[in-house]
Order: sequence, then structure tokens, then C-alpha cells
Amino acid sequence: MSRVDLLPRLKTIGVSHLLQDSNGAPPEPERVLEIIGENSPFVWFAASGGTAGNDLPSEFARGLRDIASRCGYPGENSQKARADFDREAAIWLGSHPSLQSGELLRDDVWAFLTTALLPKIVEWRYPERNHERYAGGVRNTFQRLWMRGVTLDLGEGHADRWVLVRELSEDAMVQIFERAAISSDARLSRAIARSWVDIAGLIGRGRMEDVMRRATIFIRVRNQVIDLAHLDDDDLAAEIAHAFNASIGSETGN
Amino acid sequence: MSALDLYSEPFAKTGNIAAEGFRKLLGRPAMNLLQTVIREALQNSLDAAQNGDGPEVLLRTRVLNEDEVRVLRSQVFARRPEGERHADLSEALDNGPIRVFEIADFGTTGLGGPTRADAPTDGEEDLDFVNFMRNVGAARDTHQGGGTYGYGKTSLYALSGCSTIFVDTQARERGQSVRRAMGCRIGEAYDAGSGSERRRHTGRHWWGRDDGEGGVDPLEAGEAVAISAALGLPERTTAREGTTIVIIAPIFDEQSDVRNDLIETVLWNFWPRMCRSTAQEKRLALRLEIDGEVVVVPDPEDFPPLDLFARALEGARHGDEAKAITSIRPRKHLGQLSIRRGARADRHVSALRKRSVIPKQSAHIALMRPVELIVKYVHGEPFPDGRFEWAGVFICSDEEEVEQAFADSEPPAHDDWVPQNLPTGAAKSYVNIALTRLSEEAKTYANPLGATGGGNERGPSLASTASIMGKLLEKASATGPGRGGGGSRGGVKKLKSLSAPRFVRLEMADGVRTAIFEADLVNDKSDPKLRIVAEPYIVIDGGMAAAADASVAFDGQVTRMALGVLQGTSGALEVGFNEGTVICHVPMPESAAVGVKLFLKEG
Repeated sequence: MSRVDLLPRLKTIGVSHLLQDSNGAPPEPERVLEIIGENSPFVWFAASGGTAGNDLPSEFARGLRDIASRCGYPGENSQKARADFDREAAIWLGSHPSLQSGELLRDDVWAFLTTALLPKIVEWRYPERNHERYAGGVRNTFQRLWMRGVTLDLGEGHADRWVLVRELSEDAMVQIFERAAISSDARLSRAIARSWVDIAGLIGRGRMEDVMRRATIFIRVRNQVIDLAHLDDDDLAAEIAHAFNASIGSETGN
Repeated sequence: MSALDLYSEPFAKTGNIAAEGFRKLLGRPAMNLLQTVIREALQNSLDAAQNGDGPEVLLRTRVLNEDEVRVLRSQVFARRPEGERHADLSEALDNGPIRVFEIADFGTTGLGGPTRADAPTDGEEDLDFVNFMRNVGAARDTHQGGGTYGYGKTSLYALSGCSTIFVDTQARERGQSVRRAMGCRIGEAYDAGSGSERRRHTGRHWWGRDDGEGGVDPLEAGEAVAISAALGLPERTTAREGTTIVIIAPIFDEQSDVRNDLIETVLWNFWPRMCRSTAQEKRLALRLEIDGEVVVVPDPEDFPPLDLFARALEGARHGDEAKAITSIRPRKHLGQLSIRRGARADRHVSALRKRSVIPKQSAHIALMRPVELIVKYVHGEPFPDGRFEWAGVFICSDEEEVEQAFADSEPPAHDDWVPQNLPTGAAKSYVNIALTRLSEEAKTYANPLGATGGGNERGPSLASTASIMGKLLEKASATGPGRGGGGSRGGVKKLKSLSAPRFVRLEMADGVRTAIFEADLVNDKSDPKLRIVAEPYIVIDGGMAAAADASVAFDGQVTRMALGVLQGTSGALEVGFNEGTVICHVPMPESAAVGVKLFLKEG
């Protein structure tokens, strides 16, 4: 069995504590050290199941900081710079071998990595300073990218392994990853993403926002009467295509 | 007596601090102005307390009588700054009645020492007079005193509608009793004079007696006694040393209730010096007089939640049930934290106002240095059960290095500990660590986090629910068990209710795939027009679709409802006094699951 790196976990109250003290601005490193320091009641590790160490958190911070710097952090903060960061970070997170353990499924691990290690990058990526970008969850700045990377990875053997991460629009990502019924099934998520890329090639990306919204509703409704997780790949692809077709068919004006 | 002489300060070639800057030095205290003034003035009085008994302080507001107004206009402030726009001064002094707010202390050292800022000092004598009336930001001279700078005095001017005060003091200089009186104003910088004499002025003015060198000294001895008496200021003798500060035309918020503002502010900020358990030499005796009426200030022990704070203070003083706050690196004892909890007591009548600074449910730690003057409160998490509250006191260690670190971190208004004020080093760490620990304690005292490294986060506390249930029990037991007040033996009263719908089966009805649901209706037969209304919905993600999704997904209608012989073909059925099993038919769209919500509607 491969080694599991246990990661530090920051309790929700710890996140609130850090952000509250800084009035929503990213907390200063010095302040972070006080909160997460020795005997902090807010930070903890799992009692068993792996080895706790500092290497992985450091590597995590270094890796994402490098990507952010290549994309313009801290000086440039255009929409393109941020989109580039999302894409590159999702690929890096999705392909890092030590970031595939169950530890990364925990919100409090992400809360630590985000709030304690990289708050300045969060502020650069989301200048509006929302609490949910620091706390663990589907809107956490890096957790969302990790989910994208891990879920939409087509595998090492694939000719264009990261095509889905590169091609999907932000809205399409949100439709998939902020709907638990979809994102909890990686195969379903990839099937929808593939269809999105195909359909966008046919009708153009501009129309895809509405089409995708309706299609995901149809798919979630359909999931109540047909267990999509049990369909084989071809049948699943057919169901998804049907939902997209129905969505295009119900576009206003059609 | 002749009118007082006026000295308006010009800028020196080397530059002075302009009056605006002088006022800005106060920074932005976290309190309102009246609170700042009271804190500053009382803090100064406590620092100036003579050995032995604690000081006595009189806070008084009053309207000057005609004779007093005449003295103020024709003698004290008869000369007005030349060239300065001083509409505020004229408006306050020349129109209508004049209100004043006086802060007088007794049993203090008064404003002693030399009267001129340029007088050489031997390092032995206090420089209180020049520091208060002339200098800005003089370093503190009271060992572990509450005041570290003299900046706070600017708040006195800010509270005056004309930025002007008058001061009367009975003090000592080189061991000899002296009596002094002087007026002072902090206006805005301006230009005055003509030709080559035209100069820029700082906006600071003093009224006193010409010192023969272009400045003014305070009135002294008999002249000071006479002018103070003529203004109706509290009497002083050589045995009643101290200072009276008269704030001319104080700005009190029209909506504010000065009496209760003062009571609250004094108690909330100075209760450690007013407790019955406070040593006599530290104890502050306060008198309050509002427009001729003597107002009694309650003891903190009779002013919840200060009673809890007073108990916590005892704990912190004696280390009784107190927690030591320490720094690990560098290893140092930083102070004692003591927290007490209890049932939430009803508030004093002065603290019942909406804007009261006294918390409705205390969950605070009062921070102080050994001098026992409150710097600020750290607000924590209250008990979820609103019938209880807690109060804490933290006193930093009296070890010189630690106490100095906390003192140095205070901004001029002494209302905070700001580690950023300190250079990087041990002192900064002490303050940082203490604040972090205290903040953690405040947040976790009512809801402990459990052991470090424990399992999942705790769910919401059940205490508030338990509290509601507790209240219900209180009510039940009030009438005594089993004594229902007569006539209640007729059994439990039946109420109307409708169960959640149950899915029964699918069937084809007129060629349409239809879902059949059932629900049970219990009827108290009180409403002849009682109806059941059904709203079908599409199932998405295991539940009802959100509004935005539902519009895309479904617009179905109920096709049949029945209760016994009653039948309907729409989403509503009038049931009157009937009860039993309700049946509801909902057509199913293709490839979707449906559910239904049922409601009772009274006629």
C-alpha cells in the first residue's frame, strides 16, 4: 500500500477566527502562525491512517504559488490570468500523485491549505474576499480546482488527457461541480463534460450556458428513474446526448 | 479684575505641531467621544491620585447663571484670537445660555511643576502643568500608570463645541502650594498680522496673564481663586488639591441621555476601581451631578453583569480559579485569566436602553494591566442558553518587561493592545500571544472545542432547544403536577392534522401513467369549509426541485383527489367535517419521478 501523507486540518471556527480578525482581508502570515501555532485548538491531524509531515503542505504551497506567478500573480489580475491559473492549477492538482488520497476529500484539510498557506493567492484569485473561498467546500479556491482535475482526468494513456479541463467553460464547471448529484459520480461528470465539448463544437460556446443548465436539470431528473451509475458507457452517453438534444430543442425560439 | 490676556501661538521657524495635527494625535479611538473623555479624564485622575486614599471625582453638567456668564464673557474670554475665524467660539460664548461639563478631581496631585514648557527641569519635579496645558505626547511618569501619553487630552477639546476648556488646579511646585487657572483653545491653523509681521499661527491659544515675554502664564493665587469662585467652580483649599476641567459648550448628542451615558461609561470602564472589594488607596469615589440633581452611581456589584466581572477580578487578583496565560517561546508568564459564569441577572435600569454599552448577555473578557484600568473587552461566544452568561478578567503580569510591552502596545487613547505598534521582538510576541490565547478562550469558553485531534466538528449546540424545553417545564410545574385547574379531565383536545403523503402505486389512468399517493386526515370538526390543497412537484436530487430548476422541469397538475365519497378533479378538495384517508392522483411526465405536497387550508 502506498504511503498516505496526513495533512493538517483547520476547524471551521479556526477559519472564521482568522478571517474575522483581519476583517475579510487575507490574514497576515504572522497572524496565521499565532492561530495555527503550537497547541492550537483549531488545527489537528487524523490520529491514524498515515504519516503526518510538513513536506506535502510545503510542496502544495510552492507548486500553486509557482503556477500563480506564471499566470501573473501578484501583479496581473485579468480574467484571462485567473482562468489560466484555474486551468493550470486543476491539472497540477489532478496529476500530483500525493494529492490523490482520501485526505483530500475532507473540507477541513482544504481549509488549512487555503487559509493558512495561500491566503494571498486566494485574494488575488477572488478579490471580493468571500469566506467560502477560504473555508472547505465546493467553492474553496483550490478544492474546486482539485475536484476538476481529479474528476476530469482522462488518464495517462489518453492522447489528450486534460482536454476536458482545458475546454470546459467556468459556467459548465460550476454546473457539474456544484451539483452533488453529478459531481459525486466521476464517470457521469466526465460523460457530461465530453458531451459539452462535442455540442459546443457544433453549436458554438456562446449558446452553451443555457443549453448546459437545462441539460443538467434533465439529467438530474432522469437520474431519479434510471440509475445512471449503472448504465454502461454507451448507454450513459446516449442518455446524456438525449438530455442535451432535449435542451437544445427547448431553446427559446426553437 | 482685568480681562485675561491672550496668547495665540505662531509657528516657530523650526515648525510646531499645528492644532489640527494635535487633535488628530488621538487617533481613532474605538469609543464614542464622551466615553473617550471620561476614560481619559478619570484615568488621569487615578494616575494623579496621592498616596493614601483613592481620588474623588465629580462629574457635573450645569448651565452657568447670569453672573457666571458675565465673568466668562468679560473677563476670561474677553480677548478673542485676531485673524482667526472663530465663529464657534463666538457662538458658544456670545449667544444664549452657556452649558458646561466639569470634571473635577480631589485628593490628586493637581497640575503642579513649572508653568512654562521651556523651564529647565531637575528630573525630580513633576511636569504635570506643562504636559497637560502646553506639551503634546510627553512620556509617562507614573510607574505602571494608566496614561502613557498626554494625547488623550485632545478629546476634551473635541467634546467642546468651541474646542475650548478652562482649567483650575490646586497643586504644588517645589513643595509649595500653588493655585492656577488658565483657558486654552485648539482651533485651526491660520494667518494673522499685516505686512512683514504677518505670520502663520498654529491655532492654539491660551488665556492667562502676560508673562512679559510674549506668552501667557496661568492666573495664580488670589486671582485664580477669585476667577474660579466667580465661575462657580468647585471650591478648593490647600487641603483639597486636584484639578477642575471645564469643557465649554459640550457637544452632547441630542438624542443621548447624558445621565445614563455617564453612569454606564464610568462603570463599564472603571468598575475595577469602584468595587466594594477594591483597596481604599485604589478606589475611585465618584459623584455625579446633572443640571443640579445629584445622581447616585450604583456599585459594580449591583450593576449586572459587572457583579460577575467583579468576581472574576477577585479571581485574577489572587490567582483563585484563574488560568495562567503563558508564552512558550520565549518562555514567560504573561498574566492571569479568570472567568466566572452565572445566571443572567436583570440589568440595572440605567442599562436597559437600546443603545446601552452594557451587553444584554455578557460573554466578554476585560483586559487590563496591573493598574486595573480596563483597556478593552474581548467579545467571545455567549452561552447558547440566553439565561446564562459569563465574564472574564485578564490582568497582564506585573513583571516590568511584560507590563511595559503591553503599555507600549497601547495607542494614545489606551483603548486597545496593538502588537503592530511594537518592533519585532519578544515584547511584540508577548502581546500577540496573549491576545491570541484570550481570543481563543473567549470563543471557546461557552462551547469547548473538545480535545485537539478529536473527531468531527461538533454539531449545533442543543442548549437553546433544551432551554426552550426547560421553560415549558417551568410553566407546567408552576400549576403543580396533576392539578389541571379543574374541568380538564375531558381528554386530550383533538387537533386538525394531515400526515405526510405516502406513495402507494403507479397505475395507468385513461392512458396516462399516474402516481397514487395517500395521506391521513384527522379533523377536529371546527371548520365546515376546511380544504386540502395538493401541489405536485418533480423529484430532483432526491427531493423537491428548487424553484429555478422546477420551471424547466415540470408543470404538472393533480387530476383526482378523494376522501371517502368526496371526489374532486383538481388540486383542491373541500372536506368540511370529514376525516380519513385522502387519495391523490398525480400524472407522471416521461422519464421523471413526481411527489406531492398536501396542505390544510381553513375556510
